[in-house]
Amino acid sequence: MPSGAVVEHFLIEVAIYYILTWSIYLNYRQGHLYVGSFFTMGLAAYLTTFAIRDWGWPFELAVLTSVALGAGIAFLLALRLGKASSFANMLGSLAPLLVFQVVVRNLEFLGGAMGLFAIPKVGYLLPFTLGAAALVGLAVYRWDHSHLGRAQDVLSDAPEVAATQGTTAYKFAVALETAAGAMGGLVGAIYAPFVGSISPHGFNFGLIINSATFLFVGGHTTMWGLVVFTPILWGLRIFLPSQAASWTLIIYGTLLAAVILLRPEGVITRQVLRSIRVNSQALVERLKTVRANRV
Amino acid sequence: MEIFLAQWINGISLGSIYALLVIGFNLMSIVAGVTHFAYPHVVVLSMYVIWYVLGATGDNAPIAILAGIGSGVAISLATEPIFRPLTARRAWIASFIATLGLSMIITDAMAHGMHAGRVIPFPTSFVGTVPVYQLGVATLFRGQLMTFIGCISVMVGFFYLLYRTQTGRAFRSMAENPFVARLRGIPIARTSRNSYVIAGLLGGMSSVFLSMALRYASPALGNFLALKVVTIALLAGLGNLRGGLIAALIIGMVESMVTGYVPGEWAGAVVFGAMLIAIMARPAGVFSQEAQSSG
Repeated sequence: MPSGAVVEHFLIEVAIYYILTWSIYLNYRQGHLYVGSFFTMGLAAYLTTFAIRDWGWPFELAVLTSVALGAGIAFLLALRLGKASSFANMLGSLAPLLVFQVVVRNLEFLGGAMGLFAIPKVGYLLPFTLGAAALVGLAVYRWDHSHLGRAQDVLSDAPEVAATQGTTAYKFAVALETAAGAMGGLVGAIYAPFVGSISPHGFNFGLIINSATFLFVGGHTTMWGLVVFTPILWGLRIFLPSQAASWTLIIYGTLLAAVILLRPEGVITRQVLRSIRVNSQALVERLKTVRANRV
Repeated sequence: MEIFLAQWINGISLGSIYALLVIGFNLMSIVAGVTHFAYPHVVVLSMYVIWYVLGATGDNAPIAILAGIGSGVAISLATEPIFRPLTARRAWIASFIATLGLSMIITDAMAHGMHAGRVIPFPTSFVGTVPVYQLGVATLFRGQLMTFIGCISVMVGFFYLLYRTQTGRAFRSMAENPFVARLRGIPIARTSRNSYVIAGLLGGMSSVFLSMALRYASPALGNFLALKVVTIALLAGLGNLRGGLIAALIIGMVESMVTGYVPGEWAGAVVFGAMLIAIMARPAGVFSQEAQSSG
C-alpha cells in the first residue's frame, strides 16, 4: 500500500499532466500538435524559482506572473506559428524548448546543467494544484461546449466549410496557443516548488512523449480520455513493481503505436461517451421505475 | 585558418551523414506517406548491431559493415506492414505519433537490453583514426575521408536511381500524386515497400558512417538524431530531397563552426534557433517551392 506522501506526489504529478495534456488537446482539435506549453513551463519554473527563493515574492504572485509570461510569450510566437502547417507548427513550438535547454545549460547564473536548488516548499501545494487542474478542466469543458469550440471542430473536419462560415483558423490558432502558453506557465510555477530543484534536463522531450501518450491513447476527440488514462498510465511507473515499472516506456510506445493504428481516435471517443451517457440515463430511469413500483 | 579547415572537414563529414538520413526520411515521407520519426532510431539500432558483430568477429570490419547495412534494411522493412494502414490514409501526424511510439520502444529496448544502456565505444581499428592529411591542428582522418567519399557515392547512386530508373520514376509519381499513380498502373504497395528498402539501405550505410564519425552510440542518440533530421527536413520543406541535401550540409557545417569557434555547447541552440526562425519566416520550408512562390 503506497504511503500518503507517495499518493500526494502522484496526485500533483497527475494534475500537472492534466493541464499540460489539455494544452495539447485544445490545439490538436484543429490539427495542430502544439507543444509550446512545455517551453513556457520551463521558463515559468525558472522565474518562479528566482521569485520565491531569491526575490522573496509570495507564491501566488509568482504564479500570476508565470501565467502572464507564458501567455505573452506564446502569443508572440503564435503570431507567426499560427500560420504554419500542422507539422511545422509542432516543430516550431518544440524549437523554443530545445533552444531553452541549451541556453540554460550554458549559463552559470541559471544554474547551468546542474540546475537550481533549495526551492522553498509551498505548504498548500496539493489543494492548489488540484484546484488549478479543476479550473483549467472547467475552462476546457466550457470551451468544448461553446459555439467557438464547435466552430473549431469544423476547422479540423471541414476547413473549407469553416472558411465560408467566416471561421479563421489563424485567429483560433493564436488564441489557443496563447491559452496553452498560459497553462504551461501555470504548470511551471507549480512544478518548481513541487520538485524542489530544477535543471534543464527536467524539461526534456520525455515530458512531451508522456503527454502525447496520455492524449492519444486516452482519446484526442474528447477532454475525458486523458482524464481517465493519465492516472492509469502514469500510475504504472509508481505502482508497478520496480522491475516491471522500468519497462513503462516500452509499454507506452506499444500502446501509442497500437492505438494510432487500430483505433485512431483513441480509447475514449465521442461515440463511447455518448453510449455511456445513454446507458447511464437508461439505468437511472430503470432505478426510478423500480423505486416507484416498490412505493 | 587551420581551425576553420578542421571544422570545415568535420562539418562536411557530419553534414553528409545528416544528408543521407534526411534523404531516407524524406523518401519514406513522400513515397510511403509516413513521417518516420523512428527512422534515426533504426539507424542507431544498426550501430549497435555493428558494435556487436565487431565484438563477435574480432573487429572484422567488412562483416560488421554488411551486418549494419543488412540490419538497417531488415528493420526498416519489418516496420512496413505496421505502418501500411497509415500509408493508405497519407496520415502525416498520425504516422508521426505512431513512429514516436516505435522510437520509444527502440530506445527503451536499447537502454535495457544492450550493453546495459551504457555508451558503446567503437574500436579505433574500425573508426579509422589514421591521419590521411595534416595541416597544423587540421587533420583529415581515414574514417572522415571514407565517410565523405561513401556518403557522396551513396547520394550519387540514390539520385541516379531516382531520376534514371523505373523504380525512381515510380517513387516520383507516388510523391507527386499517389492516387493518379495508382490510376496509371503503378504498383502502390510494391513501390511503397521499395521505399522502405532504399531508406533502410541508406539508414544502414548511415549507421556505418555515423559509427566512424561519432565513434560511439547510446540509446539517447536516437532522439538526438531524430530531432536533427526532422529539423533539417522541415527547413528544406518536408519531402524536398534536393533541399534536404543542401540543408543537411549547411546544418552540419554550422554546427561544426559553432562548436569550433564559440566556447560552450551552443551548437544545438543555433540549429534549433535557425529552425524556429525559418519556420516563422517561411512556414512551408526554406527550400520548398511553395515557400519560394509565396515568399
